[in-house]
Amino acid sequence: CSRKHVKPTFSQTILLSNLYQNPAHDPTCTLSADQLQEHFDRFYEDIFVELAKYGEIEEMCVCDNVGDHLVGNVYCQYRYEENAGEAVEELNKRFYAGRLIN
Amino acid sequence: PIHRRKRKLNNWDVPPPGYEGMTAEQVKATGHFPLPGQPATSRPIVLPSNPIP
Repeated sequence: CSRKHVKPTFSQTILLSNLYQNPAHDPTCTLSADQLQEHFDRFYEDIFVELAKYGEIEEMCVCDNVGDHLVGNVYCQYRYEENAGEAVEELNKRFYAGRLIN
Repeated sequence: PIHRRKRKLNNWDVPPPGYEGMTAEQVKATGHFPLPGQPATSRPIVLPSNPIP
């Protein structure tokens, strides 16, 4: 992002950038609306269930903006900051679908 | 309980092709996958022929 954002030291909310690859953004995509929804639902479930292992989740959002720094971003808000901190620590050591988690 | 829920996908801990056996930290350190908002390194991307076991 070209703007200056201050990265918080502690937060309940974590960001997994560019994690969801929406097939609808692929120009050759031929999936129907139902198939796209199903694709998304499976992704959401896979992520949510895994992130829930790190602590109680208040809310989880997946960004569908097409901006480079926003596309596919997953925001997950934990009930407790400590859980969010641990999740970031652990997730930085893991892969998802052949990709790094940042 | 949520941790027992059956999932339709399991993409967790799947490394990028060619980087099997490396930890995420090692793969990040190669610089082949820039962090969002950072330019890719000018180095050409070469897949390691024998990844670290």
